[in-house]
Amino acid sequence: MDLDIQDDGSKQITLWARNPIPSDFSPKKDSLIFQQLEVDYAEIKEPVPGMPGPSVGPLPVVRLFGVTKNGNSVLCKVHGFLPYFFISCPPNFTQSDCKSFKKALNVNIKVEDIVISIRIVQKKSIMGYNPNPLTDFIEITLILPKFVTRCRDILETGKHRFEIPGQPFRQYQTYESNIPFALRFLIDKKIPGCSWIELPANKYQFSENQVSTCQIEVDISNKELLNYSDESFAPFRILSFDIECAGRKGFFPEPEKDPVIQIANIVKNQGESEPFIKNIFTLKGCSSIVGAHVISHKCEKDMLKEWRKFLIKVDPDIIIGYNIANFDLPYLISRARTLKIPEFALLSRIKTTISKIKSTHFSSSNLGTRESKEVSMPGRTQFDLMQAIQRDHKLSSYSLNNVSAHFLKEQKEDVHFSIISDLQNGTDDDRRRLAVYCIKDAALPMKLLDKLMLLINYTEMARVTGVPLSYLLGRGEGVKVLSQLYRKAMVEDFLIPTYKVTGKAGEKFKGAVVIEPKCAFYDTPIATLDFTSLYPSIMMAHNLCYSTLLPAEEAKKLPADEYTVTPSGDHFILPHKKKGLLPRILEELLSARKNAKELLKNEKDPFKKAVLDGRQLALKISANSVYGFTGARVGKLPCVEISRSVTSFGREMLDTTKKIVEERYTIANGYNHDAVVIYGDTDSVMVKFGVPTVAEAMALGREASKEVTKHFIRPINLDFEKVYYPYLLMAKKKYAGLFWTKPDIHDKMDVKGLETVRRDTCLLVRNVVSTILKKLLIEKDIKQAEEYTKSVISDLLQNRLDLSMLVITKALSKSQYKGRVIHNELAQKMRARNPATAPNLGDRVPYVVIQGLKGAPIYEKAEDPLYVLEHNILLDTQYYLDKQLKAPLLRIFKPLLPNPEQIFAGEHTRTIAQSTLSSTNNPFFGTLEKKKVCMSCPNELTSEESTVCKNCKHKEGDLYQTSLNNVTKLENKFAESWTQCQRCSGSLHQPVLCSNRDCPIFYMRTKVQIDLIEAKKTLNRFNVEW
Amino acid sequence: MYTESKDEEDLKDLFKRIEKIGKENSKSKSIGIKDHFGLDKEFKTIERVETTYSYHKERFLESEFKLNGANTTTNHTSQSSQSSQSSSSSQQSNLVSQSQHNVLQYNTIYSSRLEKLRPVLMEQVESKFSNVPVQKILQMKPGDECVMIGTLYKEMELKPNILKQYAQDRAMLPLPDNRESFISEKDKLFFEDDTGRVKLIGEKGMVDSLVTGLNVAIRGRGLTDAEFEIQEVLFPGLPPQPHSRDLEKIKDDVYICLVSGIGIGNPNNIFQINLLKEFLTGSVGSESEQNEFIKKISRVVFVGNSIHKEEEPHEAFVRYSSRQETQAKQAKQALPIKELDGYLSELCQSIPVDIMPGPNDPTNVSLPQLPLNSCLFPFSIQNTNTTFATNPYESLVGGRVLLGTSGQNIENASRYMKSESKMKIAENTLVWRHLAPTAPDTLTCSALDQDPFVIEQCPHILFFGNQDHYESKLLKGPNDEVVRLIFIPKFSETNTIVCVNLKTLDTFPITFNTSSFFPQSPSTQQ
Repeated sequence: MDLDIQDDGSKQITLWARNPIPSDFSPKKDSLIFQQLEVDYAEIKEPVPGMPGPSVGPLPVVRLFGVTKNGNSVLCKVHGFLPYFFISCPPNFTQSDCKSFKKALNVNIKVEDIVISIRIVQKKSIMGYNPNPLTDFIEITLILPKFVTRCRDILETGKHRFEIPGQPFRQYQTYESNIPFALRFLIDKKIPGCSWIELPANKYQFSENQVSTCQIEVDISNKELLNYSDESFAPFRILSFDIECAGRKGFFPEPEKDPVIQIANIVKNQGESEPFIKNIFTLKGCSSIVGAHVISHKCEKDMLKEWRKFLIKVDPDIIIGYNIANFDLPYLISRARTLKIPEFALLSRIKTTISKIKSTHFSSSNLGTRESKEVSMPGRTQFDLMQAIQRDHKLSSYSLNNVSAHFLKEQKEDVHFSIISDLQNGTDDDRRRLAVYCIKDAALPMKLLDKLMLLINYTEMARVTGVPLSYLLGRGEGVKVLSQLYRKAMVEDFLIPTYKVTGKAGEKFKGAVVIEPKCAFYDTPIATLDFTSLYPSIMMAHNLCYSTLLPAEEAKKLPADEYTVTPSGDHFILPHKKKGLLPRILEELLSARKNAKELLKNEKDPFKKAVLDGRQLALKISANSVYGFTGARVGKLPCVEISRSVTSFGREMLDTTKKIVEERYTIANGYNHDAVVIYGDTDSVMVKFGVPTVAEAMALGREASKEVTKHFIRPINLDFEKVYYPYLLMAKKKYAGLFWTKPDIHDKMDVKGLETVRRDTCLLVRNVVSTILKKLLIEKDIKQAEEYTKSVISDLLQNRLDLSMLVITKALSKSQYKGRVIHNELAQKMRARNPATAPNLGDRVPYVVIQGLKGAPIYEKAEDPLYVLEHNILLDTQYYLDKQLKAPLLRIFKPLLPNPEQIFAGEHTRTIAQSTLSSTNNPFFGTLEKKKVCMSCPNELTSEESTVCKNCKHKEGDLYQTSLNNVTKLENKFAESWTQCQRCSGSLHQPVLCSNRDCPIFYMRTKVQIDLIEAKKTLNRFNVEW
Repeated sequence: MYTESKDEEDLKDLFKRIEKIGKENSKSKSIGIKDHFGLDKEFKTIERVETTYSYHKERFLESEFKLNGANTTTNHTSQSSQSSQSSSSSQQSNLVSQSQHNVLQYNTIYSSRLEKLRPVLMEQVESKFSNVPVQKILQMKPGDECVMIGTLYKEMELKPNILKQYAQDRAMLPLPDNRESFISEKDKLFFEDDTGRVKLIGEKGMVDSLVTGLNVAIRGRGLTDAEFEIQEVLFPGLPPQPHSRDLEKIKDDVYICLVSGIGIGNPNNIFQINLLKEFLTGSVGSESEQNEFIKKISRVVFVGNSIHKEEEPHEAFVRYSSRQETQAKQAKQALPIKELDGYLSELCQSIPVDIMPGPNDPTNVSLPQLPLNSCLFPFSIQNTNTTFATNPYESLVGGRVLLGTSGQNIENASRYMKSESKMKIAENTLVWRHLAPTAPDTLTCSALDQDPFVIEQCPHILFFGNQDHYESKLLKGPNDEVVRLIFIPKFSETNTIVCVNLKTLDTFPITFNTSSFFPQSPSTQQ
């Protein structure tokens, strides 16, 4: 490795640069084949000679960015593709009217030659079943995508009092006027996301004046580019980076004030296992780091400039990182603006395009509303791991610490931002220390990307749904359905109307229903019958689609065997007359899912298995989102008739299943028991067949599912998947059981809707609930479960539990809350105490509940766990018992014990004096003069006595023993946790600085440190020389 | 049952044999006692050979007693770092002390260890690899041969990991991992100095033979990507051995008895325990015999586990116990301590006794273990013959340096490294100049600002308690150092003690055999 970058600059640069273009490469003889990653469009002032399209500019050019097999970056500019949309054709409008319409429209827009062409085409609307032949629509082609909205408004809203010549004034329904232009291009060219493209030899030309930094920049007509079939990956360059900023004490770093001090970079080619660049740009000197290049700068401005040069030279196709979208990238750009480095924002692949920060937000029923920033960087795909993980995984915390602990099983050392400035102002070695963290923070996203196979899975998703990679993270589910719908519609000359998003609450309809649970502890096998992909299969079976919807009056005119009436009273044409588009989209998604599941079955490697499982799950979500798309009231194309029909079918099917099962499996019909459906929810039905063994339940379950399936239309399928045994049914959507798919051994314990999976409770509740369930379900030992519960309650009340079990966290998501909210109140309190370490907007605020004045509101009793530890503050253990533990425990024990309340009474709930070891830090005693008191009774000690008074002398040995037991316990804990931290920090000689609150042992090791000092003090009282 | 004459006959025989054993330094012989002695006999005070004796309490206590809370500890940290040469490290610790969560950590013990042993290793390097440049990790360049001085760290997959345990329910107690060896195929060796860390590439055998915490000099070649190909490892080697004039004053044989794991309170060998007391106090045997041997025993050292501890079955969680239950348990725990107090008070009337604590004894668990507390021993503490010592223990008796532990260090190291024998590990502690390299990583140890386990002077007698069997070895160093290494077996299992001759460093075990006296099963004794 080269320790000194300055000495060896030229070598470095060659290492950074991409492979050269093969020297004999020529557009005349070679076709250009590349994998496209990013698609957008730009306006060019002048048409390029030899390319199709209007003869005067400005005009649009679609830009495809990609990489060849050889690793060369490509910008392919596609000419001659123009935006267009449709309106319904008014009566008596003929081909000859087009010219005057075009003229009138141009006049109205007040810009010349915006409208390129107007013509009449034969299409039909996707809305409603229409057996008639295609009808006339007017297709309006414009010169630039930005005029589409304006033109649509003119025709749609009637605001401009626009009249088509020869037509009375009216408003027109527009069609396909709200699809992103780049996506429109992909759809029309039948190009899926992330696919390979071929530019045939001699059909394209090198651009004369390169606008980009890409190695190969070409122009081609939109008629010439071809899809190229290849499943492999081009060697994309992936850059992962992380920045450190030196904030002022008490403030989160602000780009207007606080410098960027380090930028760590890891660069890897897709398909290679190890990165080939690992470096760090530092402000001020930094001692070298083994295995990484340190590039130091005296001045921040130089550092930023050099980093930009580095980025351009490395020319990454994909930029990844953790929270780069909301923090690192915007910070760098704002900082450069503050420092007046205008050229810094030239980060994109287009030489003249400046990266800008844009605030965006999107809402989705899955993820809620999220506000985020977006930094435009044409040609480079940004992939923020934080967004991807938030989207795909439910975790208790999305800090990089927690995420890497969860997926990589690596606890990461965390340096609190309040000490970053201290390290920066220290020596070269201190900055080196910081640099090591910074590099780790850049390396972890790369590891996560690999381990979770995110690129592969997202690419797969882009291919199936046909959207570019960047849409998958930046936009909601809707665009994926829309892309597929357009692709299907186009083939059949359907047009998709543009609906104005009203945001108005639509008609309410009944959601999924449950069969009332018969709550109990079932010590017999419970067979579970599941409808596979319930909603998609209903849509497929009943042909539910926009294009098959029949108005009731239309239906009356048709013979009864041509349509269905759904349980919600809507009418749809049957598939033999017209097969809907949505059912076909679903078929494709589900067959892709089936493939993934097939691969999953044959995969041995447990992690790849998890990844494939993630893929099939994503496809399942996509399939289910089709239903969501029709139901989204503020979506692109809501259709309540479809969504309410789906749910009503679902309800009916559950009832039918229950009926069939309970009527068929009876003693009267020769079975040994009467079957009872004990619970049913959305797509599953739990049946107690009464048989004693799992094997028998499985046989009956399998038989029953086949039997019931016969009653439904294909592809609706009731599948037998699993048996629960034993099964604890506590309430609607709240149950737990051992999960069996084979008769000999259970697969796992399955818990639904309980505190074990919820994030807003403390760990204590999650732990206790899961342990109790283990004892009940696996060990089947009710007595021990009860005893365990009592021991935990006793430990809780006597303050013997690890504090981290009692920590509750909530995200500080708003700067202003209505009313007094616990975590916000606490954040304010902490800010007043020490602004440097107080939580900021977006942080999760951890708190514990402490004892307060009687009747004090809960928000006054929340306190920072670290503060509690340091000041030995008493916890409100009764709160934890009554408000946190009690309800879930009662719920579990209710079906098991005749009198579950007794768990909360008895000797174990008696609180013996809370064991705070000293009152030294207790604010209530702070002002009192401290006198040494006998350890056994309240007598004051004389100056000769250090432990007990003379009356209690005989107890001294026992007291010593007690005190000693305490010390030994703490010593072991201290050694276990601090040696682990020392190992984890990767250094024996440096102190552990980590402040990673997500680490499971963080509070424990902090507490044990404090407790051990106290305990040893107490013990030392015995060590007076005689 | 008790007949004086026959008794004396037998004992004569007995001590003759002991004497002979001592002189010949032969292997262990068992002593069969064919009679029973009264428990509450008056003790004869016998005049013993006197030796000079000094026990330095501070050797292992110093850092421990300074600990008076967070503030003082913080001061220590910064002081020690300042003294440890570089200005940057003092900067670091100032920084650390700002944040009060960072007091009391383990890094200082490693730093202190390396500071103490670096000059020693430097000397070794200068004499052995004089033509190879000595570098810090930071300066290492791929391809270049160099020598570096630092600390080893072995990453071991099987090493108990609290994070893994904590992933489970924290209210549940994890099953203790008592496996014999934590070595696995995937172990990786790292090397660290104050500038960085590299992965060592070398033979698996070498990786296995080393252990975390050792200070070594390594010669080898830098590779890319923070790796180092290791060719040779140098240890600090035997420390210098002091020579005391007191030693020349010893004209005749003088013995020290080492007793380990006597386990008072163990119902199975009450008889042997008492027989040992009778033997040491000279309550058996004639005057001539006493002159010959017993009088020459100048001191007894109890090497840990003097109290019997019943093994408690593993429980999945701490069961709630009522107040009465807790009290009953405490009372039960206190019984053997009282018994030991009585035992010692009788014994020390006759002979000086040093008592080291062991893993089962009522004191703290982390090394160095504090002396057993005097408040537990109201009777025996009144006699100045009793010394409650630390574990590890170091003293100077008759000019001989005694160094020993109750065995935790050897036991722990043997689980994390491969060695031909435990004795070899014991021998290696001298070559490493370190008693307990695996502390704090896997061996529980207090967070200290100074590493007390560095062996700065070579002992004459190095002993380890609580071993499975008696073993001994005389080690001769390159500079005429002579060390007697001794494994003292658990008395509770072997009824054996070990005697060392301070003059000759000869050693032999004595076994108190009861089989001839109680032919029936031992369980009927109580």
